[in-house]
Amino acid sequence: MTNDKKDNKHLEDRKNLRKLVVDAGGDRCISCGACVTGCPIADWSEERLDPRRMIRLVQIGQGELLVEQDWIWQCTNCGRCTYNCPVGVDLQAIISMARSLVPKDESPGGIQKTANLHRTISNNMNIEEEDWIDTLEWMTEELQSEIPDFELPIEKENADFFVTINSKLPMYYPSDLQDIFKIFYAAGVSWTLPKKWWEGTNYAMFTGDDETWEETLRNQVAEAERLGCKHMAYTECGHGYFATMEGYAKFGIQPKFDVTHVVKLYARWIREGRFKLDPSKNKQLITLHDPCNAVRKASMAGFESIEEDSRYVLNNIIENFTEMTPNREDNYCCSGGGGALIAGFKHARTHYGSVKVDQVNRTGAEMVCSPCVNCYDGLHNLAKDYDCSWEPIHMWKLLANAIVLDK
Amino acid sequence: MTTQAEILIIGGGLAGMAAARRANSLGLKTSVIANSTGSLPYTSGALDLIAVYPTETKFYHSKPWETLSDLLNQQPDHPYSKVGLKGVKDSIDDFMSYLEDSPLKYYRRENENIAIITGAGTIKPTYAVQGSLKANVLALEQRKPTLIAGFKGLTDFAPEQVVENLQDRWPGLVAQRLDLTGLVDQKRRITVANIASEFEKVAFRAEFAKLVKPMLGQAKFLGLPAILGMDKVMDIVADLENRLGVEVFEIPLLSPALPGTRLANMLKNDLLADGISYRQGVPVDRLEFEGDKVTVAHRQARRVDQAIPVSMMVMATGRFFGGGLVAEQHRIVEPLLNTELEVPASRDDWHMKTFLGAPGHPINRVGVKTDEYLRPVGSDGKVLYKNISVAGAILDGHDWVREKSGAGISIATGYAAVDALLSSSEVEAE
Repeated sequence: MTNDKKDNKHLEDRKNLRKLVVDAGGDRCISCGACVTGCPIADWSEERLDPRRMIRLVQIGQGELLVEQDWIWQCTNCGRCTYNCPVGVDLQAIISMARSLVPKDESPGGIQKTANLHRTISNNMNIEEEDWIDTLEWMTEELQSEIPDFELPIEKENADFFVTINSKLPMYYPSDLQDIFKIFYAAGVSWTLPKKWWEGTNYAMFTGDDETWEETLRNQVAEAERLGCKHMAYTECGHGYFATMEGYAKFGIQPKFDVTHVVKLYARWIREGRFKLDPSKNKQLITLHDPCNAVRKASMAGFESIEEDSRYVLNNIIENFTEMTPNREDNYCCSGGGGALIAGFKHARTHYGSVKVDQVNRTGAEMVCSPCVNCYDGLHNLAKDYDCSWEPIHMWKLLANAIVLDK
Repeated sequence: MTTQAEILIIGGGLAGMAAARRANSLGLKTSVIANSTGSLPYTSGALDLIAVYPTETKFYHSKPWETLSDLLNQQPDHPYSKVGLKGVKDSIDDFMSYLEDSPLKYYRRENENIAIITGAGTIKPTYAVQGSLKANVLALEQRKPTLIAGFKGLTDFAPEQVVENLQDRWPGLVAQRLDLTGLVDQKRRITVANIASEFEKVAFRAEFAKLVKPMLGQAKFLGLPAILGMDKVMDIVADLENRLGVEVFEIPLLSPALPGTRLANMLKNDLLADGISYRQGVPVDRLEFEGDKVTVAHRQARRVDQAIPVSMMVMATGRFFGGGLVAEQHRIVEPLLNTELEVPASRDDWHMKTFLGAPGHPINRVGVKTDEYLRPVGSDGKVLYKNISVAGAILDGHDWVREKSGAGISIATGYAAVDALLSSSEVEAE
């Protein structure tokens, strides 16, 4: 970029940010610091940035400095600042805006690359259709040794549920697919997995790449509608669920089906008595991590939060539950939100994750149930880096383990 | 999935929380919606009942119940007068016994006010404090040798200022700034929240005790800024006293502050544990009415307008900061009922000439007018809506800052607002 162009762009950015800060209510900020006490990364970065300094920077006409900071990418978009602001400043929207002003090819780490793959390949791990089907069939064969009459419902038309899967599963944890298969089998519902557009994440939201965000959502909606599904069961991925609901609202997408977070389905199916459950299969002391996107952010946007259903499910499938504090909408991020896991600032992430580690350590739990694949990875990294005795575990693992199948 | 609550409480400050506790104890299915954190994190966690009356005397009374009786006799429109002496006493005793038995171990003397030193080195009269401030009360009374310790890098607290302001009256007061280099991760800023989380670790407390012990000298008390951890503060105080052999107390700082945050968290978590629904982050911003009743509350979430059916509602929405009242140049509006409040005729008469003048600005006493059931009334004195009652600072006829009556008004009217809705709906049923 020539200097002239760069200056013009800075002026433009400055104007846009300034407008956004006004729109987001920033002019009501009295610097009370409630956002800072709510923010695990407030004291990280050379510049000692925090949400209220971010607002002041824009207000004094230094918005372009904000856009250049690594800090906006180290932020995990957890929304705790916005949640705690007494005068209703939407700080999270300001971060998103600042991120969207960074040219896509200059965004750090692999967030945008992931989004690009999602757009071109239909999933963000570069998994070819053939490999996807192979993995599904392999896991089906494995599961058939336990459930001989299990059949893999690929591209089944007019099924009740279109099921999304986080691409980390076929890529890194394929055996977890068996847990998900077992749950849908035991629930006795009609469901299907597509050959394409099954991806249960959406990273384009985190770089402000609206085009990719919208296109990937529309493609998934088209696929589910082509198959004639009545509902979409959204997998245990907080941001995937949030990006879907938020994206539908933002881009005016009105699918012919409804979207339900799968944890809400677990709870519904338990209430309906569809499972025979044996909680003694899960004897460890287990605490619950509330994923920011599926709880606090969902609730603030007006989407269904999974906080109560998560607890209802756990109380039916495990023997020993303990709450961490703060919890529910007040919970701290796993340290891996907002694309932080792949943004490349591991030192920062590990550092501010100490808040989460302290929180879990205080419970004395052996396991942290994380109904979100991304939080699972965030927690897993923290447990390793801080040499903790606890381990994260997916809710599907606990549920599948507790399900007793009639022989 | 969620079934309709029998009572909706708007506001997450002390009045809203007191109302929620009362409603829950009466077996009502209760739901709380707060704008954000509620006002408590902006407080010292000390609970005032009444200490200054009439405000122009600026005199601190030591017997709050006697002072309250005088007020009830002379100010029939004061929120306390709507509740009555027995109502105030019963609600305060009920709420205090919960707090006294809680992990925060609140401390009070039933019939006397107490006083604490603040982070500015001023003396604040109040009625009850968190257990971690009990020795603050005792140290101030006994004026024994006391070390006031701060931390290098912690901009929220200057121990020298406390000593400077109090040393005439308290000769054995000494200030020290502790250097935490080596005790905490140098990448972390020395902030209240960060140091508080350090105090929750045994290893840090052991190192801290080693650092501070040689500085104690003749001191019988150690005063520290209020940053001794979150929910386990009493364990932390006991542990430090054990290690140091002196009584340890906290000094409240400017907001947002830990003691108030502790109280807010405890109230919230206890209500959640009782199955009460608590929501914050998106305020109720619009009501729907049918005749003389509110029927629906709307919450404009970013993407969805949520309509919440209402059968009874307590409005504990606070004053200007939390959005309970909105001030324009020549009028003040209550946005949910969309009513204009009665203000002094000319804007010039809203305030006195002196900012800190003892009688208090006339505008401070402006609030939502109610009948004896705390139901909002119009300018003609007629009840506007029969299934709404009003609690806390938003009520008219008081100046809680100058009276030192904020917590007491919130608790007493919080309870009374719930009771009044029940009894007025019974009257109607008959």
